[in-house]
Amino acid sequence: MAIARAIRQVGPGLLLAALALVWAFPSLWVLFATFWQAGHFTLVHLSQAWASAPFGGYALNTVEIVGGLFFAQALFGAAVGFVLARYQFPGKGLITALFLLQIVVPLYAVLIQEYRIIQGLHLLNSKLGIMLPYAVSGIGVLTFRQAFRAVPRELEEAARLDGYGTLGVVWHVYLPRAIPAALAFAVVSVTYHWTDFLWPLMVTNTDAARPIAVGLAMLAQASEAGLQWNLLAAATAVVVLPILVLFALYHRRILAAFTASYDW
Amino acid sequence: MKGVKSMLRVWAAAAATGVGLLALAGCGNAGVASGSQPSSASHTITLTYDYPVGVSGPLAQIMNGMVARFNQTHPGIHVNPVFSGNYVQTLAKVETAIQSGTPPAVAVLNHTAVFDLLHLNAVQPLDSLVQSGDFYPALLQPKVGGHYWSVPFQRSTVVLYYNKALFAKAGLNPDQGPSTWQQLVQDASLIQEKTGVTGIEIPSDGTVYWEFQPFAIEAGQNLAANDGVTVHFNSQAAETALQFWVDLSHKYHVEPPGILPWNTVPDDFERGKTAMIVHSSGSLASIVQNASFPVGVSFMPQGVGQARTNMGGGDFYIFRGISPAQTQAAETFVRWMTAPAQAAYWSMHTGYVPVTSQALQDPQMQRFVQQHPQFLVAPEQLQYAEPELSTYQLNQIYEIFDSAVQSVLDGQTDVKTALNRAQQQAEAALAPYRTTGQ
Repeated sequence: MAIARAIRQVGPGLLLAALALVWAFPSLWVLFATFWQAGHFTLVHLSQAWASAPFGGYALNTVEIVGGLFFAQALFGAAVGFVLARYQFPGKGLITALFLLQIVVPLYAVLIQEYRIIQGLHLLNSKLGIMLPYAVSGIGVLTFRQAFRAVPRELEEAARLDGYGTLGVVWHVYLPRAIPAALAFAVVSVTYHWTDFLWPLMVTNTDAARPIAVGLAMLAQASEAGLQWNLLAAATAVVVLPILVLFALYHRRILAAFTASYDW
Repeated sequence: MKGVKSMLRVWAAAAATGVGLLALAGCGNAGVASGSQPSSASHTITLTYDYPVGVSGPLAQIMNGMVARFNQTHPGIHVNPVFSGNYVQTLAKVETAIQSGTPPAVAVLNHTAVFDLLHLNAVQPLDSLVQSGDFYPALLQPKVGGHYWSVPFQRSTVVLYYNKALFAKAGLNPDQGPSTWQQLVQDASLIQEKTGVTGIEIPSDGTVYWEFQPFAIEAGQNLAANDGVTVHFNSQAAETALQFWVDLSHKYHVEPPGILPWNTVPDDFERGKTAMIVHSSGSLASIVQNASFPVGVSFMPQGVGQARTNMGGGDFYIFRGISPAQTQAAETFVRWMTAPAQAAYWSMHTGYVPVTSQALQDPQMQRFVQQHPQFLVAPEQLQYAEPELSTYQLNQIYEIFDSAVQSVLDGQTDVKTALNRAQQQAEAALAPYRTTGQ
């Protein structure tokens, strides 16, 4: 009896812990291979990796790209999402489907066309050129639309009775209630663009515009020789540690926002 | 209303950040645009140079350092080196730029990309540059359409690495690797018996055709003719070679069965888990650095004929669609990069084969090979080397052959069936290029 109860109490926890370990294994391995050699803690690999590519400048570029993109995507996402959530008009279904389509058709399917557009706008070799094709996000629009639809109509009506116009209603009623959705979307957007590689590689030629994933790629090639695992792990650590630390600091809020926002 | 106020502040802050970022991005862009204008130095010719990184390590920085030295010593020419990923990504970047009408002036791409680049009419012939360069003849094969289209720069060969300590322990001569297939099997069995360590590992993922080619060549025929449209995937030689690969695992039991990853095979060797491996000559530096035993490097053991090998790696290409002045500047750049001093420097810092005998005679290079005599195996091997598999539709052809070999190693298909099917598929893929000519 006692054993059965103990198993029932501890068993699920053990099972989850084992599953978590499987998921966490690659990250743990990266940290291990970076900081551990021949039984000692070492910073040699990390400093070697850091010196092998201009990671400092790349990291700043990445923060600008990722931050600027999230700002643009949230702005357009909230505006379009609000219209789709609260207005009826002809062609609405089609427009919603277009945003869905953007999720289904990746940028890389229309790479050369996108490249030519950026070239025509004289934005090759710039952070703006990296960002522009992603400025309106289908996932962003649908996330805000869903969040706005969950806001009770009564709140909006009460605000209108208080004399607020549409902008006031959006500002005071809708947007504050979309913060969890915005946070959850931020996770999706930031992690995607933090690691995006091929498009930035295609449209940029100078260190001044290139993101951190390009720095990692400088060390990750091994088509003509074996891989230096420690160096690769250290470069990976340089790229993912900022994100991992951010997540570790805010994981409660992020997880809560995520489960609340993406239950469609 | 506290929530709303704090919300307001958040959005205001976000808006300010966003505007700031846009302004910053704008500035950065303006800076780049003005920098590329010819007005800054009216007689300076600017060249874009796309290069890949094929081995791990700080290669991008070594490359940037060399280009900076070229720029310092060549007033009037400014080369912008652009790291462009691995070989596949660099080719994609170059092709995208070509199709958008803005090709780079120079790029390092696989030697084998020549047919697909010619199909795009993308590259200029480089006959005089090649003929004045004293390159090892093997590196220049094949000539396509009567011209040389690329200048050898970073090349490697397939070699055999062996653990001298384990050879000695098993009573074998540690100064010499096995010289025939038969002896390879004998040595591997003996080492397994005496030391318990696996005999040999040959990588079989990624670019399988590349490690396989020396075996096919030694069995009598390379995997392709040099015309871009003819392959010999189901030749008697390919069959013999693939059967030998299968036998190593299933008849002689000196190699672990199944697919062995390219990236972990050197790791197994360095840790003493296997006595021999077949790998790129480019892996020498990191293997010697990581192994705690004396490392032997030897020619590939010979099959029916003499010992042969296969080459890989990248060459310089110069593109069409740039001005005559840029073409001339690009030729100056390529000539400088492949001159003995630079070729030797690149070779010592990367592990690639020196591309000319003069580069090998360079005084610093000579000091280097005295310390690392194993490094001489690859250049000595060049006279026995044959061209790497190269055709039109190259990635598809590689995929067809590699998956055929893997299906056999996995035990899903027998040797004959797999190779016959690969031959049919390759012929179908290449049929359009036969009719249009080269």
